[in-house]
Parts: sequence; C-alpha cells; structure tokens
Amino acid sequence: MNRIFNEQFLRQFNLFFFPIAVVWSMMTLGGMLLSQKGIEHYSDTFDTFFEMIRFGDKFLLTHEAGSLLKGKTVTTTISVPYPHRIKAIYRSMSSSFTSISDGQTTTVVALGGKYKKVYSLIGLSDDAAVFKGVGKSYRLRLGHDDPLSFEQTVTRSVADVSQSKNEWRTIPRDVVVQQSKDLRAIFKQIDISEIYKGDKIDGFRVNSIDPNSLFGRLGLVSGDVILAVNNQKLESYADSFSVYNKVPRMRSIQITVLRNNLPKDIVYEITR
Amino acid sequence: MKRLLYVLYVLVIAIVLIPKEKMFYTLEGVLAENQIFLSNETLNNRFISLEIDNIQVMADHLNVAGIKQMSLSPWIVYNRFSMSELEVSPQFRTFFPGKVDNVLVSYSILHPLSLHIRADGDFGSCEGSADLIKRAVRIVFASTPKLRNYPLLVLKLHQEKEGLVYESDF
Repeated sequence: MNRIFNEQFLRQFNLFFFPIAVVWSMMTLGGMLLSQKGIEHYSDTFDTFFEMIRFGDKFLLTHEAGSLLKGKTVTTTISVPYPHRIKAIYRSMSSSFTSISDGQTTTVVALGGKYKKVYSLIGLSDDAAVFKGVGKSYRLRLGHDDPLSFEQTVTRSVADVSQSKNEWRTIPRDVVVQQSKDLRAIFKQIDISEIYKGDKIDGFRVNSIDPNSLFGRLGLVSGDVILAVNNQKLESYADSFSVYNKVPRMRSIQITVLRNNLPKDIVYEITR
Repeated sequence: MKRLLYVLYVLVIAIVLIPKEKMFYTLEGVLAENQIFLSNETLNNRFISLEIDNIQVMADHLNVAGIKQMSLSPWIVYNRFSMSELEVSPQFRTFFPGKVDNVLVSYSILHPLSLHIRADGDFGSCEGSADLIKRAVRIVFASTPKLRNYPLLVLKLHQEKEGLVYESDF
C-alpha cells in the first residue's frame, strides 16, 4: 500500500499516463470535427433490396435519402427546336405538296398529310409552309432553316427533374470547315472520353475544354456529356467520325448534351 | 536524451490515437463533393497506419478504377498516402494509364510547403511535387517507350530537360 501512494511512483505514473490522457482528449475533440461515417455509392444498376441484405446496418448508416433516389429515373417529355428547310413547294388545284429536309433526310408531304407522324401540313403559300403539331403552328420559309419543335422522350434522374433550356446559336460556315480539317487541333481544344452503359457507348464526356476555343465559345462546357448530334446517337467512335465527316456539309448542328443530369440541346445554325 | 525519448513517446501515442478512420471518411466526403466516390472498401486500423483494401473508384455513376490497397500513415512529422495496384477501367484506358503499380504521396515537415508525388506503372514512372502555396502540380514523366501507348496523355505533357513535364493548377 505504501508503495502505491509513494510520491515518486505517482510522479512516474503521471509522466507516462498523463500524456496519454491529454493526447486522447485532444484526438477525441479533433475527431469530432471530422466525418463520423463513410460514404458508399452505387451505380444506377444497384438493387436496393440486395444491397440492404449485403450491407445490413451499414446500409442504413451510410446512405442518405438522396443517394437512394439517385438510382431512380423518371421519363418526361421535352420540346426541342430543330431546324428544317423547305426545299420546294408545289401548288395546283388538284394537289399541293412540299419537300422538307431535316438535314439528314428529305420528305415529301402532301397538304393535309402528316410529317414524322406529328406535324400536319395545314397550309402552303408561294414561299412558306405551315405545319401544326402539339398545339402549335410553325411557319417554315422556303430556303430557310426554321425551327420545328419535336417532342422528345427523355429519362432523367428524379432529383433533377426540371425544365431545361435549349440554346440556339449561329456559326459561320468557313469557321466550321476550317476547324473540321484539323482533328489534332480539335483534341488540343477539347478533351473527351467515352461513357459506357454496359458494353455500349452511351455518349462522350467533355473532360476539359478551352473556353476560348471554338467549342468553348459555342457553349460546350466541361462536364457535358454529348449524347447525339443531329438526333444521331453517338454509340461508337465510328458514329462520331461519321458525324465529323458530315459536318462541312451540314446546314445546322444540333448537339444534344446532358448537363447537370438535364438533357439540353445546343443548336448551331451554320451561316454562309 | 531523456527529453528526446519523452517527445518520441508522446509522438508515438499521438500517432496511435489519431482518428485515422475518421480522416479517411473526411477524405471520402471531400471527394464526394467533387462527384468522386470510394466504395466497397474494407478498413483495417494497423495502429500506426490505416490500410484500406479493395476500393472501387466511381465518378458520376461510372466505375473509373479499382485500387487493391491504399495506406494512410499520418506520422505527424512525415505523412504518407500510398496506393498499390490501381487498375483503370477499360473505357478510360485511352486517356489514362491502364495499370499503376504504386502511387506515393508524402508530406514531410522538412518541406512544409509541398507534397511529394511518385508513381510507377505500365506508363513508366513519374515523380513530382504539389506546391501548396501556388496550388500547382508539376510531375516529370520518364521518357520511356511505354509512354507512347498513351498519346492523349503525352499531348498534355511538354518536353523539358528533366523529361516530359505535366503541369496543372488545383
């Protein structure tokens, strides 16, 4: 008993255990400022029920409500303006029709007939065709690239459902032709990588972009995912090179991108 | 001498008691803010270091890479963070080296204003530093034939006396 309360022994005891107590207190207090739990993340394909079994209590501790919603998607319909050109108008007493091009294909539509199963041709004059669809009328002038809206069905995350705004810009043709000649210069301005959904390419992500480059000025920003060009889905490098080769002959370019999980169309009218 | 031993003793206690798991969770949180997620990992506290096994790195719902082991060693005067056997997903291999054998990021109080970075893999090897004041990274890649397998990476490098240099701000 005497030895336990010996002053010398207590001093030695304090010398070794006091720092432990102090450091432990400091670390505990400091630890309170740090994150108390980790973050788990799952891809869109995760099965909530399966993951709950697999991770047990950890699942409930580490998932926020937002993460649970992240995998859920909802299908909504948006309206996308897309330029069309009236190439010819024929009018007679017996029949009237027009030929309309969307940049890829040209279709002949008779007065009263339907274009792409959505737009009815309701009127023809010498220099314009009038289509009606989805409760709206569109006057397309002969020889001009005028917008015709399409209802598009898109799937997006529940958390991000809101109205997206589309952009309409113009670009001189000589700039397009000049830029499309030098693929190496393009890769210096924009860094893209493919995105896979399963084994198939689902788009191309813009990893970085020079804001002063042509692409930057045209409205593409870092983080955009390019899904389609002129409604042609980019599902392989062959698709993207096919689009690249057609660019000098295009009258307009519509780039469908996914920005902040929202689909957005950037439409460039190529001017002479 | 006694004092030095005593300081060492306190230092060892501090190293052992540092909340390493919470430090890792904080790192996870910082990465998650930038849409980078570390998942499926297993944590092992080794008293003086934290070992994290089988990490899956995801960015925006995409599997970017898998890391066999990470190690976090906060030794106060010399801190190191290492990764071994980092395998980049096939879809990203056009842009990034497919396999990185080792990555070591270290911070020493002898050089308080910079982090030292070293890595080696199927691209060859590289060594550099991150300046914490200028917030700039400078990494020198050894000019090896292996590096030619990554033309898009080479595009981001420029030639200097020491080799091919990558520079960026953070």
